[in-house]
Amino acid sequence: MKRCLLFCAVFVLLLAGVVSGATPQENAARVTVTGFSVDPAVLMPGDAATVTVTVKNTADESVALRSARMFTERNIVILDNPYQTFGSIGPGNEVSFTFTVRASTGDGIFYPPFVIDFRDAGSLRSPVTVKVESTEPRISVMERPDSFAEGKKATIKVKVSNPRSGEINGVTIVPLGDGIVSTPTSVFAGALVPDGMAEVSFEITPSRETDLVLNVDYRNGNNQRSTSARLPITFSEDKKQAEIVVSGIEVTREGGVYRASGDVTNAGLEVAKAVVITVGAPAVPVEPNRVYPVASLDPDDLSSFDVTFTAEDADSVPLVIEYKDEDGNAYRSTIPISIGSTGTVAPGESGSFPAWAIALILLAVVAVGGVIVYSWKKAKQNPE
Amino acid sequence: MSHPIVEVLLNPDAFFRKMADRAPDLMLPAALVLVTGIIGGIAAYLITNMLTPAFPAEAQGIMGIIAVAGAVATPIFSLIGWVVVAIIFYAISSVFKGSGSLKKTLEFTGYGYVPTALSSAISLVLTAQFTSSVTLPQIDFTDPAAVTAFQATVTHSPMMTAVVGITIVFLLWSANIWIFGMKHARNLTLKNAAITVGVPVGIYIIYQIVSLGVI
Repeated sequence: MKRCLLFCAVFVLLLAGVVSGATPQENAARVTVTGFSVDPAVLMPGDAATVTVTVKNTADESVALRSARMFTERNIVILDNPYQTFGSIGPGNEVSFTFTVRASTGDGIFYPPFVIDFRDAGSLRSPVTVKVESTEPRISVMERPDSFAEGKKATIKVKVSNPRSGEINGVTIVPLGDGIVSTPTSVFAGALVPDGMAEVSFEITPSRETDLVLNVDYRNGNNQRSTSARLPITFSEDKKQAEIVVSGIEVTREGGVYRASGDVTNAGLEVAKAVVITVGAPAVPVEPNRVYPVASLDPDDLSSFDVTFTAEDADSVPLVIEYKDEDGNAYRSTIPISIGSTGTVAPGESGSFPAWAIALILLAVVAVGGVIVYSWKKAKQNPE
Repeated sequence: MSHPIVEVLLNPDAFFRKMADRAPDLMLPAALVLVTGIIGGIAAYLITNMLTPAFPAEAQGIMGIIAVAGAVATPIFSLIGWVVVAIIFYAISSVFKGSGSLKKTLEFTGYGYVPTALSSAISLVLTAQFTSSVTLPQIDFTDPAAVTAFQATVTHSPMMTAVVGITIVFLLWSANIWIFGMKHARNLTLKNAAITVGVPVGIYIIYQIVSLGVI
C-alpha cells in the first residue's frame, strides 16, 4: 500500500514537472505577431500615420517582454517608441503596440521592422508593410461653355476622382479666382474610396479675365492636403449667343427730325430678350419713337423698328441695340448709320446755309442799298 | 411824274415834301399796313399748320383754331403795330422839338410800310415753300432736349433764316423812308430824323439778329 501511494505521488510530481517544465525560450517562441494595420492605409510623402501591431501569446504561461520597438527603415521614420519597457503578456492574451511614423520622400512599399525583446529569451522581429504613394486626386472639368463673357453666368461641371489605392476623406471642392463669383461657393463631396469619383457643378460669373482655380481640399488620415487645377477664363464671343443683325435701314428727314427704320433679326442661336433700339450721341432721340422696344427675338426671328432723332453737324449716327440674355446679362452693340444723303431732305433743309438763300439776301442788300443811296442822292438834288 | 408808291420807294424826300403841306389822309397808309398784315396773316396760318403735327393728338384740334385766329389777328396787330411805331417816332422826335402832328406822323409812317409789304410777299413765298416741304413728327414737349431740337429745326432752318434776313434788309429800306417821313412830318433836321428812326429800328434789328443766334 505504501509503495502504491509513493508511486502515485511520484507520478503527480512527474506530471507537474512536465507542465511547468517549458523553458522561457519555448514560451517566447509561442508569442506571435497576428496582424498589423496602418492608418491611413496608404501614405503620401510627408504624411504621418499610425502603425498598430497586434501580438498574441499562445503559450500557457506569461511571457515577460523587455521592450517592443519599431525601427526606421529608409523612407519610414519612426516618430516615437513608447514601449521601451513593457511587462508581460499573459497566456492567450493579445496586445496591440501603436507607433507613429512619417513617410519622408519617395514612393514605394517599405518594411520597417517591429522588434520585441523578451526578458528571458531572445527577440521577435517582424517587418510591417507601409505603402507610400504620391498620387493625388484628379480634377477634371467635364463641362464648360465654349466661351466666357463678362458678367455672364456659365455652368461648369467638375469631376474629382481618387486614383490612389487608399481612401481619402473630407473632399471639398472650392472654386476661387479674382473677379469670380461662384454659386455654390463650395461643395462637400465627403469620402472617396479608391477609384471612386464625385461630380459637382458650379455656376461661375466672371467679371474679368482671370484663372479659375478649382481647389480640392481633402484628408488622408489626419493629414490635411489640397490640390488644385486652373481653368483660364478668357472672354470671347459666345458662338451661341444672340446676334442682332440690322438690315434694310432707311433714313428720312422730316422737318429736321430724322426717322430711321429697318429690320432687326436675331442671327444667333439663343433668344434675345428685351431688345431695345435707339440712337446714341451726337444724335438726340425725340418723340414719337425715342426708343423702339422690339421685345423678345427668338433665333431667326425678325422684327421692324422705327426711331426718330435729331442730329446736328453729323454725317452718321450710331444706332444702339440693347438686349439681354435669359440670365439677365445686358448686351449693347452699335451700328453707324449714314444720314448724310437721306433721300427726302426737304429743299433748303440741309445743314449748311444754301447758296440760293445767300444770293437772295445779297441781291436784296444790293437792291435796297442801291435804292437807299439813290434816294439820298435825289434828296440832295431836291430843292429845299 | 412817277406813281406815288414808286416815288415813296425811290425818292421819299420829294414825296413827303409834297405831302407835308396836305391835310393828313390815313386811308392809303392804312391800306398799305393792312396788306402787309394780311400777307403776314397768311404766313402765320401756314406756319401754324406746319407746326400742328408736332403737338400731341389731343392738342391738334385746337391748333386749327389757333391757325385761323392767328391769320385774323395778324392784320389787326399790324395796324396796332403801325400806331405804336408812329407813337415811338413821335415821342423820340419830341426830344428834338419836332412840331408836326401825330396824325401826320402816323400817315407818313404808314407809307414806310411799302418795303415791308414787299418783304412780306417774298417771305410768304419762302414760308409757303418751307411749310410745303416739311412734315414734323410729334414732339415730347416735356423733354427739354426735344423741344430745343424742335425750335432749332424751325427757327434755325436756312429758309427761315433767309426770311429773317430779307425782313431785316427791307426794314432798312422802310427806315430810310421813315427818316424822310419824320423829317417832313415833324419838321426835323435830317440828322435828328435819322436818330428818331435809327434808334428803335436799330434796337429791333439787333434783337432779330440775336434771336437768330448769329450773335
